Amino acid sequence: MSQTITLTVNGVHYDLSVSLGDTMLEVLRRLGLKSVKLGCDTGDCGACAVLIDGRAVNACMVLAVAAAGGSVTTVEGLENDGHLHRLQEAMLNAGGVQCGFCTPGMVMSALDLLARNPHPTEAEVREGLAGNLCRCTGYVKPTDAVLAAAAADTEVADV
Amino acid sequence: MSLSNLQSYLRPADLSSALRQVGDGGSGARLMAAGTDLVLHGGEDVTTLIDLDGLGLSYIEQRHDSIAIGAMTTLTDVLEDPVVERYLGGVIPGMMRQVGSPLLRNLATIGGNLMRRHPWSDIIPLFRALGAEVTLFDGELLSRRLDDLYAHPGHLRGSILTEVVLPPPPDNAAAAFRKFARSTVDVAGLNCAAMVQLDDGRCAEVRLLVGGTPRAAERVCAAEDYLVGEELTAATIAGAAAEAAATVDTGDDMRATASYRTHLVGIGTTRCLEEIRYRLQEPT
Amino acid sequence: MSDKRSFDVVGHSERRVDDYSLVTGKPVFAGDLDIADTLHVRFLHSPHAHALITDIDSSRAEALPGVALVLTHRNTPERRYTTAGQGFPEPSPYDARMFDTKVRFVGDRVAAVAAESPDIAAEALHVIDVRYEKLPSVLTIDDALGESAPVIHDEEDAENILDAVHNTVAEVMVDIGDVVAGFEQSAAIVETLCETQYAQHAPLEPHVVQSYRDNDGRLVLVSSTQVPFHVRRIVARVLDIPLHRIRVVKPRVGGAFGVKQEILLEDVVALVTMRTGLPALACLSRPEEFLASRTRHPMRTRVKVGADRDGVLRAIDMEVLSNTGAYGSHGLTVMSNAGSKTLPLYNKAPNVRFNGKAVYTNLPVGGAYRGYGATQAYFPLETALDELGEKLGIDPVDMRRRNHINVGETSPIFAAIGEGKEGVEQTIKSCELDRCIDVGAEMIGWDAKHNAHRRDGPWAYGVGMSIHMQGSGIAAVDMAAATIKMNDNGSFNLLVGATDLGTGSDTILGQIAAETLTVPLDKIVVYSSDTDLTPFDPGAYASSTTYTSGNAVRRAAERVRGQILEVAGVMLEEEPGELALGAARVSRADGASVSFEDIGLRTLYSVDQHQIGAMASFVGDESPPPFLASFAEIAVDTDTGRVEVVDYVAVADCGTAINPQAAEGQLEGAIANGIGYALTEEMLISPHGRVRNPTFFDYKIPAATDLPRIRTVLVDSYEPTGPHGAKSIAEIGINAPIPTIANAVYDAVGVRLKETPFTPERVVTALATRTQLIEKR
Repeated sequence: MSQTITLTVNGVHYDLSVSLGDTMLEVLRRLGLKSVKLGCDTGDCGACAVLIDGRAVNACMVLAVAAAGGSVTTVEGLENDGHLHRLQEAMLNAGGVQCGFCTPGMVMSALDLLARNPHPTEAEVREGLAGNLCRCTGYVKPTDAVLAAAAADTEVADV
Repeated sequence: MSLSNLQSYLRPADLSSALRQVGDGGSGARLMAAGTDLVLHGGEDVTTLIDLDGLGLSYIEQRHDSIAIGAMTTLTDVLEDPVVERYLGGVIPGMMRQVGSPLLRNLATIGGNLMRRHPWSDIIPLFRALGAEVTLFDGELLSRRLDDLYAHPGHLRGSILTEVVLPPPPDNAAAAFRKFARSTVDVAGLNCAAMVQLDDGRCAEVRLLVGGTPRAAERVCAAEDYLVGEELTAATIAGAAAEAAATVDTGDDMRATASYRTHLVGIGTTRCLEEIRYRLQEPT
Repeated sequence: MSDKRSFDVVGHSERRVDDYSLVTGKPVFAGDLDIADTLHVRFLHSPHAHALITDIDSSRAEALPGVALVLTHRNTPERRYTTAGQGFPEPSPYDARMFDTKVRFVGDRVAAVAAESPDIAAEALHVIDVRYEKLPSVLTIDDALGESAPVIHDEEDAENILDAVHNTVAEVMVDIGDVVAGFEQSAAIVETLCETQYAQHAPLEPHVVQSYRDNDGRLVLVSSTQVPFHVRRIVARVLDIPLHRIRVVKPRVGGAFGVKQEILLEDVVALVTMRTGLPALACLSRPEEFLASRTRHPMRTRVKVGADRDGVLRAIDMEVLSNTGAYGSHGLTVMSNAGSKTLPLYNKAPNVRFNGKAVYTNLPVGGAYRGYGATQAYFPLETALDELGEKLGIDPVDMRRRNHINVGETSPIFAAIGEGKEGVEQTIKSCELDRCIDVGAEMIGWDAKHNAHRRDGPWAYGVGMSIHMQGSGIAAVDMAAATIKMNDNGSFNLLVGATDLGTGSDTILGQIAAETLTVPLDKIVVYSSDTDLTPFDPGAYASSTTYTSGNAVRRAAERVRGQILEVAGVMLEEEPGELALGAARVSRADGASVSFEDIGLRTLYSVDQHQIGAMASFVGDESPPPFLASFAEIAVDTDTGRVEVVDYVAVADCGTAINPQAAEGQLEGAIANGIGYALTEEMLISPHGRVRNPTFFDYKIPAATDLPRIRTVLVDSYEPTGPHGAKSIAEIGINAPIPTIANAVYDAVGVRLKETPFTPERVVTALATRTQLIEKR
């Protein structure tokens, strides 16, 4: 059974025909957004994390029809005119990317964390990333990256 | 996809429509709170989904000294709410922080957790220890204690849980929660929740639950009865823990063995009660 | 003393060349290709641990609309091969068939369906009718070795199984000196028996392969693999097609850790494309990753050590029983490495005996996994060392200092145990292990914390340590090659077969070339792992890329340097030997110079035109070990048994760290994986041989909140035979956490743990047993 839904993804409006049982993971990958990864399909690894209406959630656990009308952000939507988002830049500077498979999901979780808590402690960063499994890094440099990105937020610092 | 036979996805705008749609949908109809379980594990039996997202049930309201939490409130919202934080010394965010991960909490709802009643649920034993009540809609709105709801699960059928209400925190009371799991992002191998209210230095009301045994949380009446009328001391706490360990039925599963769980029952009970004792001693 | 050089590119934490594509989520993985008309391939797995397939009828499946092909033993090649991605001739038995008439573990291949959509393929699997005749199964090593045990590999055409009747894949026996005499001469002896569990690599990206026919009709496999060249060779063998009609390309890989050193899906996907002409895609689900890919080899290892009064070892006796599961891939070599990567570390012991056996069971298949046998064997070895020291009143750190191998020394084990053949003698040329131990002990606060019996409520604190060596490639066996060519503007293309798994090898190989060619890294364009375009490389395993592939790159770069100097000599009318090459220019003594760009334009277009470029190969004469000193502070909740790692310090000698940040990252990740292996990871097997927890929900790998900040230090070191002084770093870290944590638990609560993972329940049981023992006294 299919249905047409509207979604705004990375600022672009889409009218999509989806099956009722389609998850956002399937729909976003079909749209060509390959940053949304299939790591487990059971909501346990965070590799498919995206922002839906501003909150980081596992796309594999959200039905497309339930997200209809909403606004989705994936990593592809972060680069601005060739400039990387400060979180992406921080990830690279800190050496937080090894195989890169968990990276987009981690970046989305970190975005959500920093939006709620602009100056987290190291423990709070690790809690913020707790839903993103990584087998390559031991979380050391990704944590450093998020802390560095938080420190580089001059808007808040200026207050 | 798990929901391979889904025929119909509905998003009612009011409770009566939602209820009607459940009836119309027959045996393949499911209410969807966030769907974290349904989407992954619903399976081919699910033909109709009734999404509760459009009913305006996401709220946290102070009502005099009670706190009402709408069924569709996410676990993150509950975790971060300042009013909830103040309730009985922050015991709720202390528990909620141990539930899943931020990604899961951003999606999962209180109502979904209470209705799904996973035996390892951390929310249910604590909310029951706090004496929480739920509001159900079955054509009318009615109130039930969470304890009673699970004692008579038939009441859940044909009704929609709209909110959970935490009663005014009693004077001279404290609550605590403990969870034992294999890792920090894991469901409980065992959990404990307790609330004690003192009257004139003695336990007047005691609510103690142990869950994930691996069965769903139950009140540990033997330990509760043991404490009522007693002071909270190291000795009475040890006695209560012994009663709990002797009477709580445990079993084996992948997370833990029955004997280890029994071991944890004693420890969890002790630690919850010790924390309560400590909190109650603190000058206000 | 280390040879400290001054580098321009090497030794710097250059930004990795693939980073941009990864952090922006570009479609660079094998599952991202979206090729039109791709058939989706799904597998039917055996529900039985051991059974004959007496009948298999795929007609109903084939009749489903959208099903293109169903493969079973009826319509696929019969040739036996090994799935192990190793050099030819592979030291693993040829005991696998693409689809067999017998199934040997729950999860074994029964059939495959290729269909227009994953849903149709899944539906088709349901309507394949299979009849099984169940056979008795063996689920433990002891049962498998029993006299009346069923024979798991009774097929007549299997090759290279030592003793199929007794389910024994391989056995290695090495006897140096006289251990009996050695123990008699010992002032103290310790014997220990340790068991390690089934664990899984769990890379975030599952196995995925996309195949298609290119415009010339050749078969192209885009595979998330560690071993593209072995894939090509083995697929050619299995399907009986000429090797050069196959092209294997490795895209970005989302982690592997050994599980992708295996020809697991490529044969089937290739066959689907060959038969249908259509592209095909197979991707394992997460449960299939646990059930039907590869695992760590569970091992039972007995170690007996004896030392003189000063703690210097007199004898080491190691006995390894390795469970290789239903198929023998990597069975011999993982078992051998349990000895070859551990025993040489303690070369002071003149008497050494190693006995290893790899045994079949009707259980999930062990394969290559970071550490490769050393991880399992360091557990009893490094805990026995501690215990031996305690008996003699010698601190664990001192025990290590008195016994470890050092520069200028050798061990007979190097020559005695190889990878399926004789090993290679070698003398250590770089070893900063003493410095590693010093730094690590200081960082963890060893003197203050060891034996301190610190308590805080139920928490008991302790510190533990262990030391390790690994290797850098497989000497005399594996050959790597590299090609460099120069472009118009003085930039270079570097073509390497070497396989970047997210490990950063593209970057560090680029850095090695850039250093030798005196250009910045961004003037090197690295292209890797394409069997058509890049020269041969065995692939990413045995910690070989930095050393073996790196040396090939270095050689190729040296040759290109020579060619550049030749041309510059003509241009500057000077002998090449009198010229100076640096910063992408070649200069004459009087200051006149030409740039690489000058040379590039001239040689490509105008005078004596020729392509400046070179290919070079490298085979290691030795496998210089990296060294590691590992320290941890842990806390044990003495009520619940929970072990928490409070602080972890890993200090490594990897020679020159080509890219320090990348090297640290490798060490951090390996330690993290090792901590999971030590504390929480365990594949649970039912009495019927089925994996009960094939999901991240039930198989717990460390999350960010499970680990402390792992502190790593790379000490100054220089390996003269390594490219710019480098050795490996990839595997060594994962071997440390089990013994380090076990030793720390002993320091904290006085119990010696012998079985991993150290779950709270195991710790509580050990504590209770010790209490009982104390009460008995």
